[in-house]
Amino acid sequence: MRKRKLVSILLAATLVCTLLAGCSTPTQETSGDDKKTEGTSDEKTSTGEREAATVVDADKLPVQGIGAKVTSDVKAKEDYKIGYIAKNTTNPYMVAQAEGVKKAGEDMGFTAVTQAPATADSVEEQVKIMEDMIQQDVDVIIVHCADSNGIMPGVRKAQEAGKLVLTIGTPASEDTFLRTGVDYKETGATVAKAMAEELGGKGNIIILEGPPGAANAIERLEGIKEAFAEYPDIKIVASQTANFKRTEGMSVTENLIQKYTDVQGVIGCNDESALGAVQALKAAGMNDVLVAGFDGSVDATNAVESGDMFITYNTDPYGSGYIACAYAVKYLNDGTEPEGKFIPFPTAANDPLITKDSVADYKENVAWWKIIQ
Amino acid sequence: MQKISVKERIKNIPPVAYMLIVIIAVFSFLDPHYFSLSNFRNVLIQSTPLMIVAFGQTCIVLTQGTDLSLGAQVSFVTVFTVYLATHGIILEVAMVIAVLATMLIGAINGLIVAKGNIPPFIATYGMQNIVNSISLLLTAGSSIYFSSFTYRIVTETTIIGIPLMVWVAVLVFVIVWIVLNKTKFGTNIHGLGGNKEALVLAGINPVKCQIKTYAFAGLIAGIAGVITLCRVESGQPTVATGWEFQAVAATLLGGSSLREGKGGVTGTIFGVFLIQIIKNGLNVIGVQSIMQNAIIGSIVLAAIIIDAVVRIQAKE
Repeated sequence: MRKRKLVSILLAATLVCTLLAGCSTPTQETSGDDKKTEGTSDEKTSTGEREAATVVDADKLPVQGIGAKVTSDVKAKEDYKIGYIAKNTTNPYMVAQAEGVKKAGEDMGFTAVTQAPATADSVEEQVKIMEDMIQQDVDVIIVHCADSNGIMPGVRKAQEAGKLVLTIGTPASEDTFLRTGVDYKETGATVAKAMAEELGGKGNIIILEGPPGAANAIERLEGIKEAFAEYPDIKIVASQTANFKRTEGMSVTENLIQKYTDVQGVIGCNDESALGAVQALKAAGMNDVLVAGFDGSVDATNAVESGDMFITYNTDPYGSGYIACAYAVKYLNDGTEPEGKFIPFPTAANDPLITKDSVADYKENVAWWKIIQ
Repeated sequence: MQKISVKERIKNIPPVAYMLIVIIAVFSFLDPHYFSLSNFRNVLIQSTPLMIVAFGQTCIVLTQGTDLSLGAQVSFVTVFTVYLATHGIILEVAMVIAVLATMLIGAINGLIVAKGNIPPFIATYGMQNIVNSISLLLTAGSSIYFSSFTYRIVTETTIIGIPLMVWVAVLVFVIVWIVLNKTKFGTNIHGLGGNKEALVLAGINPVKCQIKTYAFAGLIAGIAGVITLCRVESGQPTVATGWEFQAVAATLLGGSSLREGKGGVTGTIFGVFLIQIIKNGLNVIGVQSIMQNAIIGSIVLAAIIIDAVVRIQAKE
């Protein structure tokens, strides 16, 4: 019996050794140029390998208008197959983005296939879906990455298989054919600046951060913090995650206002968490607190209209999905390269802020969520 | 040891295996891209991390337990390895340390379950939360990176057309199979689930045995963690959320029983393949992801019901 025990231990040891032997030898050959340490989360969002944003004038974009008004003259010359991978199926933002890709398919004349991981925001599953799409023989894969580095094995495989890879929102850690969607940092800075101005450059702010691990949430937070840094009398009293969820936005705000009774503003890193804050503040009778969110969602739009929310930012997932397809189809047609590797859409130039003044027009003509209702 | 006849062997194949054939046939019929070598290679690669976790889970299930912290342990290994690597430890060494750490986590699980006489479900659920929190703390809530070519060696080096990571799973299978079927430790694992009194009468310390089983499952989850790390090339604190349940489902699908300490690791392979083949197939034929979970759930339920019916009939 003792022998058998020994055998099993030895086998386990062999297993570990084989695994390592397989790993270690070639690493030594490639060390030097390949070893690059990126320790903190700050560094990863701004890796030097990626091209900075190229802001293209609205009249030079392959699409006209934003949100529900978006149209394009681009037409597919052949029946291309374009795959789109969302981050999850629960956020209306992702649903609208998929719809943008589908609408582009109808308008431009290609086959659109849309997918999302069953476990929300799982980059591991996104890679699986990419592998499956390569199998399905799509021409283009558009992905809203759940993680920049995590998506790379899938991106490499797709590119090796000759597929065009586009990202929306969160980019892959290396440049792909094109990245579009909003520049998250800019969205954060724009909203924070608007709030600071409204408060007269003075006040205590609570920030409801996005889910741990989501690069877009981190970039947005950076933008917010940078913008507030310009105002010495604005103080961020608390910054906690609400995981982009309304219930968590509510409970976190409830908890925080127990401690911080003197608060003038709350910024939720998306509309859902901001709306949670609205509920918590209302229940506590703190009606003067300005609440800002991102995405221009239906509930947030209504909240801005009723005065419960101060502002939100139209991140236009529908138009982003649409414009990504337009660039891809243009390239497949005749090899037209985009103007840069990152063309943000919509940009600040598209008047993305939904305020008390602009809310009526937005609701009537632009809102991306009109499509999915 | 008596010889098992061919008839007996065929009878022992879990129903899930037949279900697999049916499902593959259906998908092949639905999409011409489906039935291809490259797609089955995809399935193999995609199944690997869950497969390894499920091998560990099988051992726990055989003791009448479930380890709900295995998914958290996988995530933890991806995070802890990268964390150590960014703090100056060679990546490969960091991998070993992380795997040893999950072995320790497993041992603690076993200790709590055995000594405290606490239901494994609760004890390991607590551990799941603790380990998840540690992972999030180490990454400050984000994901962390350490670039190395090593990942790609594990995922892209192929031996007879099959990536190294799949071979690791094969090796783990062989080891777990040998441990369960050919060693005293394996007999004791079956005994823990089947007849604890007999085990005690035979002079075996069930506490020690339980600790060893959970530590063994931890070691295996650690290996799955290393593979997952190579797959996502980053430390992801939530990457394996829910895998523990999928691993339990796969184990039960494979014919292991939560009640009698019966079953084994071979059936688990079919269980994992069933789950992954459905997922892959639904992606390839382009089924909306919101529908996918319902379809997977229904097929898994159907498989378990068929299995139960077959068993009852066999008893009669």
